[in-house]
Amino acid sequence: MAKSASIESARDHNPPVVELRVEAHPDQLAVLRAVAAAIALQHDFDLDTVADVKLAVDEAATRLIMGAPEDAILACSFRAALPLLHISLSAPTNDASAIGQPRSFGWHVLNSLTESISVTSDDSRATIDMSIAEGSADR
Amino acid sequence: MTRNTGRSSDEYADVTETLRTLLALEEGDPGRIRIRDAVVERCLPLAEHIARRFDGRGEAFEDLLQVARLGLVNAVDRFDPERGSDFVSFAVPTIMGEVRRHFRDAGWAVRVPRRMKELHLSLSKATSELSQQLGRAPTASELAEVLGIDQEEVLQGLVAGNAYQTVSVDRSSPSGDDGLTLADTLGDYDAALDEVENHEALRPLLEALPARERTVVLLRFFGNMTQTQIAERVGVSQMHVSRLLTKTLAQLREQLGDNF
Repeated sequence: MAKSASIESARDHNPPVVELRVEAHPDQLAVLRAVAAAIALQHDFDLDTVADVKLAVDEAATRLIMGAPEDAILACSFRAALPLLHISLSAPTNDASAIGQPRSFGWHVLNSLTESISVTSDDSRATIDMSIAEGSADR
Repeated sequence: MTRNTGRSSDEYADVTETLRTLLALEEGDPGRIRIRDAVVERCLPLAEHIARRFDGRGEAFEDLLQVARLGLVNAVDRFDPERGSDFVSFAVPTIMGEVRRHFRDAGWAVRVPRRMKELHLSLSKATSELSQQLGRAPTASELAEVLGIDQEEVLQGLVAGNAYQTVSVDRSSPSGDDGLTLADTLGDYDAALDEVENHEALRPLLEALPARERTVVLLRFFGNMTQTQIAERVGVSQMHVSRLLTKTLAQLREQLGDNF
């Protein structure tokens, strides 16, 4: 009993992570979208929210790819802590401004799709962290 | 005249004459809109007939019907009786052209097994039925239950939908307005648009989108509606809305460049 409870809580604190590393190239967007959709579907998100997950990943990844040097790797990790799906994308950057101004249309799109979103960047690397809530499309 | 051969042309023989009356009216005469609407309504069975001919080829019927009706509206607006043909001989190829274009736009980018396309289609049907019942988009497990298949299979079918060619930036509709009477114009979203810093650059681009694409983007990102709600409003499937959104965002991104 005690043992299973501790396993449960360990799980709560450390939900499994799916990680994906792809070339930072627009060709890879379809792969990212497909994986993102599969993960959201597996966690039984409704189809509207699944569509939001795909659009958000597409948009965030495109931003990082635009600012990434050639042959860079885009790392993407998915962690479900229901009702939230956390998605973190990161890539080297030689142009942090490509991530864009916070009030641009693209950011407006990302904000409408996600529960929370943040960007951290320094001279060499940019990371976009976002979370989308199960059923959030309906709110 | 036998009953059956008269089906195409004679059944709509009055339409050519009615459209002549319409064109005789001055531009801006309210009678024009009234006659135009009446003609469109009168010819709806023609659009449905053509949509049915393309049914069962991997696209949801409701999408085909919508596209065929769009073709009908275009045909009514572009018909010129002075060119000597009757309306039906002009409308049929116009409507078929619109439907064919839809197939081309929605074409599968890679070869997907036939069984997968069928699965995708039944998922599309079940999605719209369930959305009606639930008042929101269904989940994969709800779809699995309704279709009596494994959730794993639902996943496969939906992910196969990614093989749909969703992004083609170089192909955008030439006309700014496709004749759909969608009430949503930019003016309704002025306040929301002002929140976006680059709205001055964005506005003309939205303006230039076909009405359907514009409406979908406005409702989703400025009207706070879900894809399912938009699908119902516009009269197409949620999957179609999803495709339109992906395509249109990619196009806007391309056009806005660093300003996106």
